[in-house]
Formats: sequence, structure tokens, C-alpha cells
Amino acid sequence: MLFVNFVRFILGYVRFTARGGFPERFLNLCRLNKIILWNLRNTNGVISACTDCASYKKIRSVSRKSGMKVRIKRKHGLPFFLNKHKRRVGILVGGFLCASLLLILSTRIWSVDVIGNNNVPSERILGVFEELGIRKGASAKRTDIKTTELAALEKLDELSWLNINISGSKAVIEVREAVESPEIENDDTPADIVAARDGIITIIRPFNGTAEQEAGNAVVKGDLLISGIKENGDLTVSFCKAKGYVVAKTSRSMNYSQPQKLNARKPARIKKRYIINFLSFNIPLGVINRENSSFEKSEIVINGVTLPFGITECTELFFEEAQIPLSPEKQNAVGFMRFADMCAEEFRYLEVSESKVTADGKGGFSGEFECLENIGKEHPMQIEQTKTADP
Amino acid sequence: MRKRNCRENRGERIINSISQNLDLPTDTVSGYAHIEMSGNREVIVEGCRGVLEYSEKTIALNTGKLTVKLCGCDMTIISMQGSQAIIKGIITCVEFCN
Repeated sequence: MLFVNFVRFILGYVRFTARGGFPERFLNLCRLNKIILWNLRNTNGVISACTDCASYKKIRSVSRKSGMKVRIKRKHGLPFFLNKHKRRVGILVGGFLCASLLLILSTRIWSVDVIGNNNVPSERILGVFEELGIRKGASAKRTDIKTTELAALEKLDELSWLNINISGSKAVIEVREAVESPEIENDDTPADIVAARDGIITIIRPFNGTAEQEAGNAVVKGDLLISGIKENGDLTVSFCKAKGYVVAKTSRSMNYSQPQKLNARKPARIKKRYIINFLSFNIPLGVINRENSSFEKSEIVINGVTLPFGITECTELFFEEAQIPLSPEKQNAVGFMRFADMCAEEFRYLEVSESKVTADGKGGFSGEFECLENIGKEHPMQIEQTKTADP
Repeated sequence: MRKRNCRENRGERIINSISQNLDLPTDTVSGYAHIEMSGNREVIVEGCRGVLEYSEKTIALNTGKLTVKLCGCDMTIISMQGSQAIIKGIITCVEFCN
């Protein structure tokens, strides 16, 4: 019935009323003249019914014969709508453009997504695929998936496997990252391990070479800790690259003083510009300085499908150097934060066993720290080869 | 007159017996209307030759050998194309008369 109604709408139909005369004769004559009637209703001797446009032209003679007066109540359908709006060319042009846009866009890729990557950035993968023709706006049917996959794998060494799935207008690139093989150290240049700082040794673990110090020994910077000279079983010596770690107790001091005025970059002016994105085309609305701008792209997603339209907001920030005066409380707070940042950076790879921090109340902080750290540092050996005279 | 009726009955009987033996539908062979009812809401009459009476409460159709009279309320002829008529409404009574 829905399809019948659709066909009737496309062809156009009229609803009319017929009153007076003989309704039964009118209906019989309609049937004989092959006039198709539907939705016939008889209310108090007034017949209302629907018929198509061509049949309505024949209905006049039938109504005359049956003595009924026919009047159109309403016209329905596309021909009447088009006739009513025939002067509005914009609607026709808009409809045509809409239909052609739908036809063209249905064969194109609207969005390209990458899944399965952790270390390789999506931008890099998308960049390679863009070179190979998989990008927004590319034809979905003309893409040779197998060839593109092989070419992309050759270009992306970090990936071990990839697959392109194009469903409708959405392309999903599924990837698996390759596991990098560990680098094997082949450097056998003879070297010692010496102390990088002053301290008291707590742990010494030589993996290769001979330990020259013991736990509890105090060493100064440059002292030999693990020697690269090994004594063999036959009392001869051989040179090697010393390996191992030496943990020592060291002391460090940190100072920071916050000036009363804070030097900072203050945002002076914000300039916003927009770019309209349509498939792979970008239409900037105004002059955009790409160097100092931050971009925020927003796309329209309906039921998980990214539409080919979007807008990018470009924010350009202009800074100016400013000296902000600080109150004593703020000076202390800023000073402490800066001091804490310095300590965190300095002691990232150390273990602090004891600490003593003092503040002068004017933004100045000083601290004494006792740390446990690996003080071993590789130092290449100076070896000279001398020619010995043959006996 | 009686003789003629007798002849007609005889012809009808022969047609009926042939259609029964050949498993043919009676309505197509003997010229009766084919009527389909969906509950008491819709009636499809095939073989309709004309409308004899049409009001909200009664619709009478000429089907050749019989007159089918449908009584009820809100009776509407949904469509009338060729020899097919579709009637909708709340049907309370169906009458057949010669």
C-alpha cells in the first residue's frame, strides 16, 4: 500500500466531492468509463473520493449523466507541487545539486581511521596512505587495496602487518606494530669504570673486570672502581671492557631564590580563524598564520559515521613579556614550586636517603640531600702497543 | 417459464459437476462472484458488475447471478477498479439475493 501511495503521489491525484443526483449511477458510470476511484465515502448523500488527474477529466460527462455536481476539494502529488513552485528555480537547482552531491559522495571515502597502533603515530600512517591514494575524497571503488597494502608495508618498517577495510564511505586501516630486535653491544674497547662523584661505596657489583674498591671505602671523583685488566689463570693479564655498577652514598646541595618580580609571557591578544573542511579540501576563511597557531578540528559524527564536512578552529596567540610583582606569600609559593621542580629533575634517577630543606621567607630555598646513586662512569684505557725485538 | 428454469438448473448442475470433477474453482466456471472477507472489517468482491445501493450503512453490489448486500456502519468503498471492489467498515450482515 505504501508503494501504491508513493506512485499515486508521483503521478498526482485529486480529492473531489459529488453531491445531488444518483450516487449509485455515478459509481456505475465511473466503472464503465474505467475511472479509478479510491477512498470513496458517502456522508449524508455527499460522495467524496479520490481519482487520478487523467480520470478526473473524464468525470465531468459522468457527473452530467448522473445529475451530480462535482467539485475539487484538494489536489495532491508531485505534478501539482511542481506546478505551484515552477517559478522558484532555486528549489529545482537545490534539489538537483543535492541529488548529484549524494550520488558523488556515496562513491567517495569520507573518513580514514587507524586502529591498532601504540608507538607509531597515526599521522605518519595516514601520511603514507595519503601518498598512496587512500585519503578523504578518494574513490572507494577504484582503490587497489592489495597493491596499496604491500606498498604501505614497504614504506612503514615499524609495522609487521596491515589491512585496509573499506565499508561504505569509511576506510579503517588496521595495523600491527613490529617488535624491534634489541641492539647487541659489540664494543670491546678496553675501559675502566671510575667514580663520577665523591662518595662512600655501599654496593659494588663487577660483571666484567676486577673490583678495585670495597663497600665502605670513600672515593673521590676519578678514582678507579672496576679495572678493565683481568688476571688469567696462567698469571698473564688481558684487557677487557669493565662492566658493573657501584652504588655510593653521595651528598648534594640545591639552592633557588625567587626574585620579587616574575618574568612571564602574558597572552596579549587572541585571534581566531576558521577553515571549512570538505573531504580533502580546506577552505580558509581569512588569512591564517600556520606557525604560531593551534588547530582544533571538529567533525560531525552521526551513528558512528564521520561526515565529510567539518570545521577547524585556528587560534593564534600573541604574547608579550611582562614582569609581574609578587606578594611575599606568592613569592614563597612560586619559589617553592620552582625549587621542587629543580629537585625532581635532579633526583629523577637517584634515591634520596636524607634531606634537609631551609627557607629564608623571601622566596629563597636551600637543601642538603644525601643520596644513593650509581657513581660508576666508563673511562677508556690508554693502551700503547710497543714493538718488541725478536730474540 | 418453468421449463426454462428447469433447463437453466440442469445446465448449472452440469457445470457444477464438471467443475467438481476437474477440481476447478466454482466462481470462475459458474460465474459467481469471488468474495473474500477479513474479519468483519474488509470485504473484497471480485466480479462486481455495478453498485445498486450506496450509503454509510448499506452497500449493495450487483455480481451477475446474485446481489450481495453488506450492512453495517462506516461503510466505505476503498477502491473500485474494473470488476473488483474493496469495501471497508464494520460489517454486521451479508445478504445474498437473486
